[in-house]
Amino acid sequence: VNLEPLAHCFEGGVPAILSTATRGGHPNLIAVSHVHRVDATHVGISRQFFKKTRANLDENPVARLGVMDSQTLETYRLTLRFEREETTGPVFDAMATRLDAIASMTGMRGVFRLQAAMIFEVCSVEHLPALLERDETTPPAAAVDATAIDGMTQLRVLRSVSDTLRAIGDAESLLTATLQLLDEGLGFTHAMVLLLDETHRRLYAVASRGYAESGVGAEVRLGEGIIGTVAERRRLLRVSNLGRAVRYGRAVRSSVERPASDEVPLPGLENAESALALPLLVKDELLGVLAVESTRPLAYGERDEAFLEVVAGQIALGLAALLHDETEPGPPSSTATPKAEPTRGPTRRFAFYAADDCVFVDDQYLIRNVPGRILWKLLRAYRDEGRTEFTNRELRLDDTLGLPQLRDNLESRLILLRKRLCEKCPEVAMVPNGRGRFVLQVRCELELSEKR
Amino acid sequence: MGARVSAGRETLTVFLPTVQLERMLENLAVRKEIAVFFCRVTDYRSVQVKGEARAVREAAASEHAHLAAYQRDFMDQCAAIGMKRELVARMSFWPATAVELFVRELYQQTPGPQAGAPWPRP
Repeated sequence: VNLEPLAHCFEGGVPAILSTATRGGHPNLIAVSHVHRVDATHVGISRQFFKKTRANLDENPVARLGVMDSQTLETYRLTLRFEREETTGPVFDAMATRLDAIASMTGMRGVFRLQAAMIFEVCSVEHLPALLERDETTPPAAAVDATAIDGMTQLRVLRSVSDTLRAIGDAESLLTATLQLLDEGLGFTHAMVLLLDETHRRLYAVASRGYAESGVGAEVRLGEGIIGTVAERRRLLRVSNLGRAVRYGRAVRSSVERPASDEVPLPGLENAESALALPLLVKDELLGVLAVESTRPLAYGERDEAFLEVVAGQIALGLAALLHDETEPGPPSSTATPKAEPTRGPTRRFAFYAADDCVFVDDQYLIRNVPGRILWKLLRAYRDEGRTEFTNRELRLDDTLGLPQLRDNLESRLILLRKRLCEKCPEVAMVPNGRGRFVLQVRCELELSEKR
Repeated sequence: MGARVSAGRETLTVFLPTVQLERMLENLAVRKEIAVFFCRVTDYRSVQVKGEARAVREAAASEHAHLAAYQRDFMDQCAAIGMKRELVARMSFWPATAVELFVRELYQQTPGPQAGAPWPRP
């Protein structure tokens, strides 16, 4: 048995059909939402609604699975023998993570969930005679796959990521440089990094590459969509045909009588077909999620998964070291120390809404929560005392900002704040000025108001 | 690839590509029970028909046009879910085998809690 050529059948756009029969030979067919390759000779099939199928397998463990490769239309028939159901363990977790993500994307969280992973031994694989008429003008798919990345290129990029981690001293540059390497070296053209916020209930985007709008500051609740599910379960997730998966989820929703919650718009490509999201973990601590996506179906394979797991591990270690650096601030960098600049240019009106912890600039939402409070503190210190230089340490010691006592992730909040300012109000900038220090540069008139 | 309901609505003829039918024909020689699964690929709306195969024959040349129309509709559905139209257009279902089955059971099969329930009678 060789399941290797069937990878695209299991993940592609055409539903697989599972047939079972009673002991007496009465047949039954169902469409399967996802076939999970467990190992070289086993597959897992998700059980959600299969009453008859499950009963048949108790009587007669032999089943057949018809699958089609949506890229080549090659069809295969697998003869399976049902072995067991699993409701815990790595196979169940991997399949449940996928289903949870799709369920949340289609407003079906909690309704559409994995009951069990049915594990089958694959006894034989038959490649059925082709239905396609030969087309002499098109070479075989493998020969025209110009996007395939060789192992040496991956190793080179990995080495560059390592070099970057060693050389770069701040988290923002680390993320920017890593996403650039992944794009330019390996073609991961759309990527983002989200970090866990202080409530541990939401993630917020701190870096992205390839999107028309950077999306920095976009939030995802834990358990919401692919990224939120990966964070909640702390497991990577690769979905190769999002369109099909979402269609399946919607089909379930259409057949459920009670109203489901709305579909949630999430950051990223609207027409993504492939997505790969990985938790950024250091030991048991979740820092955030690295996510890549593509409009191409089947854009990522197991090789990408393994490679990005290594990269995600490195990013997590690098971030942990940089984000949790609570050492005393270093001396001011002489080159970056600004001269007091006269304020001029347009007036920017900042408003702080205390009830929501939100800062608006010229009636446009800018930022909220901890970074919002930090910005407000900086702007008032600038207006009232004429201060321009600040240290991370003084922010940490300010109880009014609401930073956690331990693992405050201040650095990641500052990254977010810097980027949001850069996008929404470039006249106000926070410029790093040595380790643990920064300068507030203001090139406009400020008008501050506080609202309850 | 394709199906046709008889005038009395008791018999369904399904057309299948002969090239892939060797095992199914062997099975039908032993047992006449047959299940057929229809799934609209754009939204997974699905139905399962169970019955007894009353006749198996080569599809007649006069039925080719019906299958061609069916294939065009299928191609539209495949294109709607992002499959390459030119690829699906190269699918050949001819020669086809017609299986005429007497319908005994009809089930809803759209994924969800109702999957497997009998199709509601009109």
